[in-house]
Amino acid sequence: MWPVEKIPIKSRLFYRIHETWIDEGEVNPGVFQQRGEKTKKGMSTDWEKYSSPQQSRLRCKNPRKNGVINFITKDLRGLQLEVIHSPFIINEPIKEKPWIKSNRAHTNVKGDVENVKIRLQLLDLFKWEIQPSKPLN
Amino acid sequence: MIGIHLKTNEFRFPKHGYQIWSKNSKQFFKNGKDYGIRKKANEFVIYEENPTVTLKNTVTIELPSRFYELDREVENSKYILALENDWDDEGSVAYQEATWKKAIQFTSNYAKWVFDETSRVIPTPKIAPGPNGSIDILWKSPNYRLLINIPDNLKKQASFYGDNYSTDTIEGTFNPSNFNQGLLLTILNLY
Repeated sequence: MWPVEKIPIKSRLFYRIHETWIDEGEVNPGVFQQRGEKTKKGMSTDWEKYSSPQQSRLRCKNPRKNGVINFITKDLRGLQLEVIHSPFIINEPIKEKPWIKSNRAHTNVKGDVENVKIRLQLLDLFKWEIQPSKPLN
Repeated sequence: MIGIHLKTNEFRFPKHGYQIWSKNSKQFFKNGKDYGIRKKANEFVIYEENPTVTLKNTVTIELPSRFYELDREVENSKYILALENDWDDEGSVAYQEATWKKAIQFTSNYAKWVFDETSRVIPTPKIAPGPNGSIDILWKSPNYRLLINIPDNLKKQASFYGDNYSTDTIEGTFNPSNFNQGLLLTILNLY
């Protein structure tokens, strides 16, 4: 198992955005939400130390339909959100979701992400890494 | 009923059909077809049908024709109901019809209320999928922004936050069916 590391405040975190969340070129704030249950609950991102934006884009079912944005860790902590390195290992491929593989970069953003104020502020903070319209290669 | 001067005003015709009558009530056009005698006239009176939004052949809302853009946005937002479970490949859930109806009924009632109170047509918001089966209603301009979230659990309160991108902010929760509507008017009017 990979160790859990402390993420520096200047680190970029990559977050995938499915094209359906984008309307007339603008990201809908509903895209910012936590997934999972209990201790695994969080907004899933990838830490730049162990992932490129391109690798992050490929960690989903339909990479062609997804873009990637980034947040700076310091900005998220400034909103009172926790940024917690959460690497995981998949020993057996998940039958229904074979694209999910071990991920040392995985980082959970925890807190009141779904709050309307926080979501509007997240819209201010992100920067595009890869637009969904960009070809894979 | 709206009076216009054709020489000076531009008018976008409503999608639900229209009739143009000359001031002395001789009909000229109906739904784009030319009827009657052409006649030089600068002033017309236009009668419009109120646009409606229907779902499964049932009228969900009816708006005065001046809310043409809002009607169009509500129509466009129907795509939300077609999103199935896991529509974004990240596990997002499908949206319930009741949540969408609550969102559009709140928006249209609010628009009508503001017009009745102030004679102003509110800017058209974006109606969008929210997190966890909720619906977002977003007003965004260079001067202000306001986000309202209608939860999928209709017993829960809606939440809102707005600001002028600076120090003036407004936030809270409310019951979409029964609340102090002037509260939101503050931000839509001020900035």
